[in-house]
Amino acid sequence: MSPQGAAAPRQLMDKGPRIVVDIAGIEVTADPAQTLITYALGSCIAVTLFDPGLRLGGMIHYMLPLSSTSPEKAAVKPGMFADTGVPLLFEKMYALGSQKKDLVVKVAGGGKIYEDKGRFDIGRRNHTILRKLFWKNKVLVASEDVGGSKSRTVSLDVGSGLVLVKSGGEVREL
Amino acid sequence: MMDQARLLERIAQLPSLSTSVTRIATLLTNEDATVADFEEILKYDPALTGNLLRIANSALYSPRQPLESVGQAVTWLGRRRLLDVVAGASFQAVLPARLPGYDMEATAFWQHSIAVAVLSQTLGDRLGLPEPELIFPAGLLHDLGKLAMASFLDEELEELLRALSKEGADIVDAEREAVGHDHAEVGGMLSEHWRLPERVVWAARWHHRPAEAPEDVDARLVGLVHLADGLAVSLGFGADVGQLARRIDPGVASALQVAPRVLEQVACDAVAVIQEQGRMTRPEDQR
Repeated sequence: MSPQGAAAPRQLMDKGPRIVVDIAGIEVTADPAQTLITYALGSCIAVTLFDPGLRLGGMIHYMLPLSSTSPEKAAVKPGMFADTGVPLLFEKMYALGSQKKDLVVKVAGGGKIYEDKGRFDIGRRNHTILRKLFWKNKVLVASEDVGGSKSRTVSLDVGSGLVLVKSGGEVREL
Repeated sequence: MMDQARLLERIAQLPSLSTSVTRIATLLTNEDATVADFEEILKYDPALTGNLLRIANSALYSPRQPLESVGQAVTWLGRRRLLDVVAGASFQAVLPARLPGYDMEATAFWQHSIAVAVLSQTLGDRLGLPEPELIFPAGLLHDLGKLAMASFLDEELEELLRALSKEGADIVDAEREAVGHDHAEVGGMLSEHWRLPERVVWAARWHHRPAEAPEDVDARLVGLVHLADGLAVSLGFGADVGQLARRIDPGVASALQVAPRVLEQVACDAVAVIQEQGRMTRPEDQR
């Protein structure tokens, strides 16, 4: 990426009003002036939804694949898990008027730490469950940036649908 | 590369972590110690008492009325929580605004430290580890070697980034490649220099390479902090310049009999506590 190319998206990422999506958080908005942003995704995954016609945006930052790990936590914080949080994100978009076929779906995160036995590979498990969910519900992913030993910050500009991923000081469009 | 003399000079230059941590830890082993005994240690430590009162008065410990003296704080916190707060307060007193080289602000460093402390404690409770009162401080102070390493790494930043960009790179190897030392080794030296409790020294020294620890070191404690550190980084609590570049020793989880499911449950239980503690006890000048 050229230095100029990197500078422009970074400015977009850092400017204007924003809604911060915390770990285990789910946010949707109909305000095109807003940017949804989530910081420091390690093995966690962010899914962004954008409805270009209605200019609606949504984002989840989930932490673990399955709510069976802790049904009590899932009851209070469904955004903690892929299987409870991701369907809820879609429902919140439908409640604002979106239809599944209109949603642009992007995915980032799922990074990993080195461990031979895969015990720590929460990132990969997070991604596997998401793919199963999407497969079962016929959801197409427009683009994704998943895996590797990276930490990522992700933003969705609700006005334009632009999704940016920042990692190791570099910003690129997803 | 930095030579040993520069490293020792740097360690000597750093503002010292209060000796109160060790003295309180020792006093806690005495069943008969009174509030006045604890107060006696803390009241001559002005850098610490300000932070101590601020943290003890935070919503985290929610006193019924404002705590105005060290004695009141000791009474309110009780033996179980006193050392956690003293360790946090003394750590904040030596925390710089930024750690160059690691590309970390104090807030992120604090958040990571709290995350490892809370995860270590949560996992320790589950496994029923002995001496639980030292687990939180050991987790909290595990990365203090970074305080001494930051400026050296900043001088060799290009070298560090190059080492980190190699496939399979690990932050500890990259640090050694860039400056000849790593933050765990330096953390061990620094925590010994500050005469911190033995268990805190062990965690600082061996949390990246638990298998290399000598036999007299408590392998369970060191392994616990190792897993907690990996989990904290994985969950996005305070990743440094190395991002996710670190290795988990596969033998540790087996030895501690920690199944993947247990790690995930610990993460669920701890995440809200980490967020809350990180926010409520944030270093004063970072609000």
